[in-house]
Amino acid sequence: MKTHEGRRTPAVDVLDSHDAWTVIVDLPGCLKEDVDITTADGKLTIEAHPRKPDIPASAVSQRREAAGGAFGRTLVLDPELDPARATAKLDRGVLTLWIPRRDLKPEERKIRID
Amino acid sequence: MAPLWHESFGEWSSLQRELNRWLDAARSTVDQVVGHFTWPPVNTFETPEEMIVTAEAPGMDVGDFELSVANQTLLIRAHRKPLAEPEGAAFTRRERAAGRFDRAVVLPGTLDTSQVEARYERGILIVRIPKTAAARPRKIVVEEGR
Repeated sequence: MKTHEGRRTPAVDVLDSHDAWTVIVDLPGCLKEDVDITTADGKLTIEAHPRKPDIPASAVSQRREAAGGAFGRTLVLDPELDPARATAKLDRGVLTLWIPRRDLKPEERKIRID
Repeated sequence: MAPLWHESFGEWSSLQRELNRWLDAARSTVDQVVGHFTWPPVNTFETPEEMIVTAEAPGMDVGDFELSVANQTLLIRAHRKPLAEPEGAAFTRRERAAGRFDRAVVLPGTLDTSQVEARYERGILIVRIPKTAAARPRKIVVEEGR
């Protein structure tokens, strides 16, 4: 499993509904080109490299509650989900991923009695 | 478990910490989701010309912020509306801060607080407060003597 050592862990909400998961991730400072989303082995991995706010190079840091630097997070997905059909959008530093459940074909739902 | 971010920084002035704690306690009874001590995280910077305060608060509308300066203190009020749980859906993970938050930053007396500028971009609030003319560096020319 991929480790995210030295990375900030972004806060995540997961909304589980009958047809999909909605995964919402706080990625302050990021534009869409700063974010990498991959799925493999039933896991969702998010890596993001936020842009620094427009602070002059001469600035001296005083209070520092937000550590800065990259974000990294891996989530184990429900095996029923179909990441190939996932969609994502990034707005004001919030990533919203929609991952639908697999379409079950009618014959897969049938219970046969032999 | 990793320490919470607010435990990892020793350099806060005790006044700021106490003020934030008091404001949080006062607010937490309203609609703040339990588990968030102080939010959003604030960084401050100083340049020869200004002080810059940043707050990482993604997903907000500019109207969700209320900023004020009084008694050498910048108060950042933020209302992050909790996401609704649609019918038939349930949150299985809920870590993102939601609710009403107040952060207070004590400002040095060298700032001109009548000139505060605030911008919100990529989920980060950036507040700039210039120093007074007297506090900015001035070059002093040495004149040639006889």
